[in-house]
Amino acid sequence: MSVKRSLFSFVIFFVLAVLFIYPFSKLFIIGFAREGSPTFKNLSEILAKTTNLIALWHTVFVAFFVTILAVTAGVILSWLVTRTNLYFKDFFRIVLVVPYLIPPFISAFAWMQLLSPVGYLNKILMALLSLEEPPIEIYGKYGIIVVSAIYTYPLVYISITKAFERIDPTFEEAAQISGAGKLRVIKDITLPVMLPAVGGAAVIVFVTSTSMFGIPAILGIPKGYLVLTTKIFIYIGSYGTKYNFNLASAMSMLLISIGVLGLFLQNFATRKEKFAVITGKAAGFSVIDLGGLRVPATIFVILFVLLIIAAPIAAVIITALTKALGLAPKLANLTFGNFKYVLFSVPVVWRAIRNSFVLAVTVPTITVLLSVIFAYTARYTEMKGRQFVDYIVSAPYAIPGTVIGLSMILAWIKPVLGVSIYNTIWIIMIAYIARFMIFPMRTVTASLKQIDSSLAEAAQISGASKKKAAMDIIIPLIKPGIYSGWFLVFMPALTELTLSILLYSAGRETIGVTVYNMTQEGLVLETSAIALIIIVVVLSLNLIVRRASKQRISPV
Amino acid sequence: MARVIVQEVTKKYGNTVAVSDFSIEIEDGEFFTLLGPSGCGKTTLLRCIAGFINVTKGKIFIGDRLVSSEDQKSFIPPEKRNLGMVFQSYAVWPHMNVFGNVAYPLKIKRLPEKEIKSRVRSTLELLKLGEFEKRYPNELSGGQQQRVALGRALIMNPDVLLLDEPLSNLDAKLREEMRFELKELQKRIGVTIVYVTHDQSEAMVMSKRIVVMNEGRVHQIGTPNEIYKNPHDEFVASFIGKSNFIDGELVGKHNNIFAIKIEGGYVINVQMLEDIQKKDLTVMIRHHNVEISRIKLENSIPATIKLTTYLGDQFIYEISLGKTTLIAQVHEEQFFKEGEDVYIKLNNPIVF
Repeated sequence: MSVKRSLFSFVIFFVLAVLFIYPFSKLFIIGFAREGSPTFKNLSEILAKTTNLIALWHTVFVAFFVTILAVTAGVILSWLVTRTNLYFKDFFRIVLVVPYLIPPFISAFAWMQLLSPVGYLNKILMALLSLEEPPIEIYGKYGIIVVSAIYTYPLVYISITKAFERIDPTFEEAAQISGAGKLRVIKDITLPVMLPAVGGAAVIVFVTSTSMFGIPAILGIPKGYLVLTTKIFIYIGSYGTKYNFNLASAMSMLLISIGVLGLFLQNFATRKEKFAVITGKAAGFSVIDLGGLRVPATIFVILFVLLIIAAPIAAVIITALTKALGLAPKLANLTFGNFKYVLFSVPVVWRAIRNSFVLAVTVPTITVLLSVIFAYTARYTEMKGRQFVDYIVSAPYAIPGTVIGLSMILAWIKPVLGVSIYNTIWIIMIAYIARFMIFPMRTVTASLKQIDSSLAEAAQISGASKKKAAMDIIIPLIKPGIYSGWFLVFMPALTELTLSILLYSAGRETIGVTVYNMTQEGLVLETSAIALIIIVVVLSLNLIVRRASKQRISPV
Repeated sequence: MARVIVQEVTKKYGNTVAVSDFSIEIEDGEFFTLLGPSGCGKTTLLRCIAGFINVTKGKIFIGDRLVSSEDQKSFIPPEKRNLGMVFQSYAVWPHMNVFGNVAYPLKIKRLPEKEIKSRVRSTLELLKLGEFEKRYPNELSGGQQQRVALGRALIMNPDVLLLDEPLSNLDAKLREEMRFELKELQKRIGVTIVYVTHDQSEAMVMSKRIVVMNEGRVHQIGTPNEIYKNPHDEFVASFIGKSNFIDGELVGKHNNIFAIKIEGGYVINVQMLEDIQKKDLTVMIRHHNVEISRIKLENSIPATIKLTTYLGDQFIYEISLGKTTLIAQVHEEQFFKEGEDVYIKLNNPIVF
């Protein structure tokens, strides 16, 4: 029994070491050392270079405006959909989260179709306003900010909607009966009570924005507008530079510290908060009558959906069906040839699809399995240090994908104890597991928390062994957490770019890598075809799962 | 201070009728209670009075002012009704301290800072909250939060104070204390109170008058004593006080004395105030009106003790009368054994 238990502890420790402890220690060591001796040289060299400081400034600048835009849009839309008598609310409720479901690099590519110098929207505007030059520039900071905000506002929208649904309606009624009019109630009660939720969402958006890779890579690199993630990416790739890994690691520290600072600020801001929100009976909150603004508000949301969600998808559809670049979207110029070509004549595409599907099935399965073991251990056993498991597993949440990818390279570039996985699919798999582990860990822990320990104890009293009680009682009860955890990993794993672009090798391409490389090669028609397939697959899978589970699965 | 007149009010949600053709007149300075089981429409009616929802039909007046009617134009929103309200969940705003919560209605009225301060202070003193001024709601007990809610409701000298089950979230001991405190407070400041509860003893202790309601309808309006002594129908009788109900058949009338045959062929005589036309009747006897004795008295009926329960200051007996089971509540130290044959007398019966 004791041998068995210590073997079990060893396995857990081993998994944590491979996934987290070893790679991140390696990153730290290489960032603060050269040829084996500790030094701050890497950091000081990084900070001495103007281009790096500019990248740091760009990162903060972009994240700041992304946060402002995403929070504004998310809060307003959430308020309109949950608290007012807007028309078509049920439709909007679902459609407004779509931008978060589409992989960010696909979204960036779609916006290129609209707003590149030859993009549809630029062409339309030029024709309408009879301009010589395309009026809107998608490449550079504004493009990155807007497209990133479009990708991240659903995070705000989802968490604020949840908060709106939880807020005690009598808070507002009490203000009303105290003499406050509608606007006054919003100003004095609704907004202040919502403030912690809004602040929390803002920090999540800010940190997400600083760690984004796909959008700044596609919209920033061509114009030389670099942020820390793309800068690190370029450092890693520049094998000619001496100490490139050390410098990339040092820069990663810089990037991580922004995320940590963000989380710290959030803690600081909410420390004063006395917001133990006492909820009474859920009387169902009052719906605010928009009165004369009902129609204009609905039109505003429809326009938002058309421009922000429908237009980029439509642009991808049109390009994907066009015979040759630059042809007007007329019926005679349409073809399915791009799909045929991409799927049957480019061998890398099939290879990428196969690789991505293998990863998208194995990674969630492994992470869910590990999550069940970890969460069960933390809750039902007396293993030493079990409470640290959760901290270690959640760490990558604050660590950008680019940095995780770099850590994995550093950890495996040379064989470890005779094991060599560099340039194989295994390193991609391990990196995915480390990055996505947190999703099933959360859902499984949450559903495990809801199970009263007496349920398993009752099985044991009835004669079941501890193991049997776990299998017969606990596992069936945490199934919802297992399913949603699996799906939450499956979706991003299928279209992952940030880790794959750093870790892939010939023959080990993923869908994300292939699409990214195709955009770099300027294969617009082919990219559109595959992007459209990805959008359709992702959205229909989400719809199916939504239908099947009858509940919203969200990563927030 | 003002009276509240609810005139033939109906409130429908789609096809569900929450309040139906409901009329009450609440006098100035009265402690008036809406009493009924959950889902009876009492909270809906209170929210109509508050103005959170409009009526489907009928009219509501506060003072002489028409505040609600089916005509949307005459609808006055809650913030213009000059009411105070205490919610079941208290709804003490978590982002304001005690002072901020209580001062809020005055700030809305843009009173001078100085006056706000002095009025809040005196209200807090009145509610024994003086020392908690700077505290936030999460640093207060349930009872204290409730006083804050009360202070916030009272500070603007409302015409009417609406209380929506304000005591239901308190523990039993505090609940009893607050009953008397509320009653005391009302006496002192003389505000009209409309109180909603499902707890009959709460209603009995505090109210000047009660309306007993069910399924959105008025069953009876009266003082606690009238309602207890002379319930109009079976619902009121069963909802207030503890009673036995026996099926009976009218077998004779003499002036206002009714002869009613019950289980086992026994006939009891009931004095009625009004005539009853139907033949099949229900006879109600309060638990404490069932008298038990070992010897046969005039008009007593033989029965058997089935179960004895001792509650310290009283005995509860379950008694078989043929197929019917009656419950008797007896204060005397007279003790009957289970299985013992006894005689019972049914005092003060009421017939529906």
